[in-house]
Amino acid sequence: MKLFYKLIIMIFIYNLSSISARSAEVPPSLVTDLSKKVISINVSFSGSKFHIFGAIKKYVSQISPIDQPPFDIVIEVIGPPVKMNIFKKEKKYGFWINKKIQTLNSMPSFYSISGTKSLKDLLPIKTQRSYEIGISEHINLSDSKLKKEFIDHIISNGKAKKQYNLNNTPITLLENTLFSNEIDFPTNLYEGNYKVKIHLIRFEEVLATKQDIIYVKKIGVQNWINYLAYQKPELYGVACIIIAITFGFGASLVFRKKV
Amino acid sequence: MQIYLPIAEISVNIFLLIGLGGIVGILSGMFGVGGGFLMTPLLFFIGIPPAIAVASEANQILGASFSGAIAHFRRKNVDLKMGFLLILGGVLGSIFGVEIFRIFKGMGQLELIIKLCYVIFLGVIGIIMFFESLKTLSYKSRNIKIRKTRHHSWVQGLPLKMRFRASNLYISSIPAVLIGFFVGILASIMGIGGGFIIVPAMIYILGMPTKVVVGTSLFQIIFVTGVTTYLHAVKNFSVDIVLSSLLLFGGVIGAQLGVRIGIRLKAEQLRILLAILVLSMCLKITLEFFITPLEFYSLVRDI
Repeated sequence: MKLFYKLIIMIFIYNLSSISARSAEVPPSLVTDLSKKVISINVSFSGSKFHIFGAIKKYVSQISPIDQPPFDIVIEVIGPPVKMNIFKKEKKYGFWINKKIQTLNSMPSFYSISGTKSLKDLLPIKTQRSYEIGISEHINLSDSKLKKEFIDHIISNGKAKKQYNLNNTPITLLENTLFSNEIDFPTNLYEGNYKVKIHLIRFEEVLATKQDIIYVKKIGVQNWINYLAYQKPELYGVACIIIAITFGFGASLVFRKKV
Repeated sequence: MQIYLPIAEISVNIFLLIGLGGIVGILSGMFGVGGGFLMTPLLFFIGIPPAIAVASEANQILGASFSGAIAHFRRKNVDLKMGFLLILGGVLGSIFGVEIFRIFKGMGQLELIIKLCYVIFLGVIGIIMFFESLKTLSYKSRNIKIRKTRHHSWVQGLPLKMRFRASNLYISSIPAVLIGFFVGILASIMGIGGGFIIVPAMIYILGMPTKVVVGTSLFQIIFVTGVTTYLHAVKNFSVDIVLSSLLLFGGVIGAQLGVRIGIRLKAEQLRILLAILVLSMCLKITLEFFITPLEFYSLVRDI
């Protein structure tokens, strides 16, 4: 949070100085930062939060902020892509059975979108496509009706709610300049680079996009177990056997002494 | 205190896991049953993915059965020759089971298969246990000793006969391998040791003397669960060592307590409660098949 306040002060000083600068018609751009650059998953990991904050850097400064056309901000956080299978439950012979719909080769393992308004109110679908904004761009489902249903279902009320978060609280834009957004990472995070994309939007157009990266890594025992389990599964299997035997045998020795 | 399970990729309360291990340990110590068929469904209920629950539970049973197997081995209560035949079948069954597991996992039907197996298994066990404990309660069983139905005729007629000194038997090796095979499949698909099946099978089908039955079954269980753990780790990446260690930790303590409680209380009369517990778990899993799901879509990572 300290960093955040520091940034606010910085921005105010910046704005004061830019009034005198009076530069020509340069489009506004973004100044942003993340409260964390790295998230470590250790044994006691139970989810994590981080802040994205920033300000809109304006060059046309003669106009007072109130008179300026309202800016809008959309922030996307896109997790590392993984190969996933989509299943849909269907009723067969009286009970619910999974039916495989499609394999998605690069589905983001995490996705979160938040904005001053919802994306569909800010950008027409065509523009969303050309700038690749929105979850829809990341899901390569061939059937468009299914795709809509899938997005509506799993993402808005499923177990995956924390993993695919489309219903974030709206971002407030202070003085048409400052904004911040809290991202809540669930426990089932995949390791890798999480792209943070911040889009500045005005009149259904994307004026600027800034990209940053937050790196999620497993550390300590956690990392070690994962490395063994997926990279050296033979060794891991043997280790599991030895650990279980040692545990069981050790415990019986302890209890035998007490009796 | 939360702990992050590295393979299951969820964070669970550490005391919940140790507690579950402990409670199931107490029950298994009291009633002399293996904990697998109680533990695995409980793990489903707390949100552990079924594939990981099954594989990790196989690993836990390995640890939980090891000291018992050693004790029986020292007392020479193990028919080694019979044990090796059961293990042979068991290992083959486990390889087969893990392969089925992998295929169904790819098809997205693994959860369904595991749960269906549990419905059948828990249902059968629950009903048998329920009626047996009713009998015990009505004191009728006092007069009925275990009938020694020495090897059935069809077992007698099979080829590949072998002599089993420790069991004092001369029978075909085929049924032992088949029993082992069946239990191996159960171990790999359901995460159970299968003592519940193998013990009656040894007595009634093979006609083994009760003295060596428990030791031999434990002997086979540690080998089969060991192989199952290894295969699941290598083929399905589904053994969570943190999960199985915590369950084991609670489990061994619970089992010791359970044995002590079992001696003091009339455990046989409490068995009906265990039967009711088993039947209600069966019912809960069964209902999940028929109730309209809350989530129609699911995403499963393709490895």
